[in-house]
Amino acid sequence: MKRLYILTLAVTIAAMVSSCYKDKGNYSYDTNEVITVTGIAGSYDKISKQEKVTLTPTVSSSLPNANFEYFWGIYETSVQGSVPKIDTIAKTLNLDYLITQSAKAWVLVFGAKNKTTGLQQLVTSTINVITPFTRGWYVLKDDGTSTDLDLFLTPTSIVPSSQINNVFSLINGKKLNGKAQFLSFDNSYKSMVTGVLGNTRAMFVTSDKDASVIDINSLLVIRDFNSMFYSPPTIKAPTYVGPGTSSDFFINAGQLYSIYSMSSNVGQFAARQLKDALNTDYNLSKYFINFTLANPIFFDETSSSFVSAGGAGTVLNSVTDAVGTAMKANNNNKTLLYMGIKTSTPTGVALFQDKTNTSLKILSSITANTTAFSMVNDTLLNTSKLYSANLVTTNLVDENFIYFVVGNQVWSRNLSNKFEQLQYTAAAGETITFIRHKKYTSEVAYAHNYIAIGTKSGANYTVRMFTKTSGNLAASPDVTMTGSGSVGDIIYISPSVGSNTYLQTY
Amino acid sequence: MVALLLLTWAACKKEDYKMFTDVARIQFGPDVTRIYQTSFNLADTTKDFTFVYNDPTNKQDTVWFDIYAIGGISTKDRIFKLQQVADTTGALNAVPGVDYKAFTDASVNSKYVIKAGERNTLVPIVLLRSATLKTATVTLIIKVAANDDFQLGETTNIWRKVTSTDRLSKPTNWSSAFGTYSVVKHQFMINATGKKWDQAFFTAMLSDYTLMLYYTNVCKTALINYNNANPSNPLRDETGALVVFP
Repeated sequence: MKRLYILTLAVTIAAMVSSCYKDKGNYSYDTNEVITVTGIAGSYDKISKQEKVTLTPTVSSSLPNANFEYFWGIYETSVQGSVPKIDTIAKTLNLDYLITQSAKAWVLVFGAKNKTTGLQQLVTSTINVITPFTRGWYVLKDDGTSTDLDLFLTPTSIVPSSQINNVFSLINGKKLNGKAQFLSFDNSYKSMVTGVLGNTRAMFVTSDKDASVIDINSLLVIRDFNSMFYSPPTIKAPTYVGPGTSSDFFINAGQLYSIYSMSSNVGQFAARQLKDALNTDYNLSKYFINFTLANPIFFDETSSSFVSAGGAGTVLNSVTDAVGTAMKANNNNKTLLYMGIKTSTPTGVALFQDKTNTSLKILSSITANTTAFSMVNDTLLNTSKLYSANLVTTNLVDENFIYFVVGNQVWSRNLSNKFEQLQYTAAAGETITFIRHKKYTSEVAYAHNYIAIGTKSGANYTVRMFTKTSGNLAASPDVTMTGSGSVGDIIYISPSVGSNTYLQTY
Repeated sequence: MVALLLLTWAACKKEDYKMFTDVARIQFGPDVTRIYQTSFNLADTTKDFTFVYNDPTNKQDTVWFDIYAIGGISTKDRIFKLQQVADTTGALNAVPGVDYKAFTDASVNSKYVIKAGERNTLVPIVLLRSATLKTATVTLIIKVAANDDFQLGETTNIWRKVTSTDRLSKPTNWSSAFGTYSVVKHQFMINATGKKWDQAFFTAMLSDYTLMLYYTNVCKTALINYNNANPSNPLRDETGALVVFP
């Protein structure tokens, strides 16, 4: 028995000894291997089924005797409802691949693995698969009774090299009824254009009697006015359709409709939102402050009150005054002559006319916080140029200016010191019909910062886009576009444009 | 010390595979597409049925439940037995032969079989459109009973419940977005929209959030307009409470 104890003890001690085995280590403290890949740019624009991605990257290792193997893959971005899969398209160093993917942004992946060490280096590049319609200036114009789009192509720079007139009706066989109103872009509009429900890069095209949402890849109408709603309004009088925070908003005949885009939907707008629990009448102005990071601000002309809205809501939200605001946000007895966004904070500018004393006009700088809505007022002298303005637009983000049209002249007003300055005079015979600030910074090669002025002469329009210095317009335009009709809106579209690229405003 | 070593060796002993040696058992379960989703283990426990949408000449209809044999398949057909259990919570119990076809009725009892080579089937419960249903809702609680072919399965899944009426009844998937259920509200929604607002309608509508918002506002607007038109007599439900959409 004693021998058994001794044997057992010996086994146990042996086990304990082995458990305390000293780690002598065999670690290597050599410098880590670095694999360097060059020859792959950050992005490429390619036309589907026409153009190839041809690349000859250079791969090197910081260690000698590297033995590489390679792979190329491509996967889809902004996928809904599934995890994107990498499609392996080559296992060679060089790539010569015909793009067949649908028009949108894809990610090209290059992998170089040193088989000797096992280390792999990945490099990605964005492939913007494009069509002839995915890059250029779109001009929304009308002939007084019907609306169409002109597309000015910009293959190499922001200055157009050619144009396609009436491209909306060219593709769809019909125009929109009514006068040109507003353009906006939504990169995640839900549609079945690919055969399955998914995010679609789409443009809302609005006239004062009609609207459509079109697939930017093909310009084909995805939905017309009637099919944009579960139950279309009987009166067709759109003033605005565009993306907002987690939602799309549609103002028609002064009534607000929405799609809540953070949940399942099929791209159709819900029923008219109510003003309140009593279904009080309301009539929203066409002017708005809407950015994709905050609920939009609208103005109810019936009650002279600002309101807000959420896409998931069924009732408009009231707005609460900030302490010290110069004017009430609710029941202020004003008519809204103009309102536009200035910054994404969001802040904006509004021009009011008093309903009782119609000679009273007030320019307000707005901080559009729905729970602390603040206005700083500037009562306009009737001798000021702005007092007689018939078109107004804001300067987006840059100088603290607004621009406005009086007769055939464009003026600026410095909101800080009220100084007004003549900026442009239209040529004799031309009538100024449109003014807007257009700013784009997403692509260096196509970046621009223009004040766009549209004029009409006879049956034709001219859009001149001016750079500005300290808010003052250059003597001559950088870009000039001409066509038939009268301009309602313009927008620059590229594969890099998304729902929140632009501050939307009249 | 010896015991410690023995325990250590025992702990390392390879475990034998356990084979199912229990008797065959029977129990209800979810749709066959959901049987591996634990969150659906108690799905379809209760089904609410109304004849109100059926043609007036239609005197019977069928509600189906999924039932499963536990313990593998058999080479012969196996009969399972159903029985009614009284609801003791105050509900009006369905009467066999009046409100539903008795489980012993020759036209249905032959359906209560797990076929040879099968492990599940659908159980038909044939509801009868009795006169009672015009003014009341009856409850039928069904429980499987042990017989020569099957013993009982899991306690939580050996029963199912059907309510039957010839009036509007609350769909099982009624959404809280429309507030508290009442028959008056339900009928108002049908009148306001022209839709059935039955289980199938709710299923389709709830798959699209914006569609649900659409119907919420259509109903809400219709109710406001109704109450505005009848300021001294706003819409009230069968209990006298004001009808409200949140």
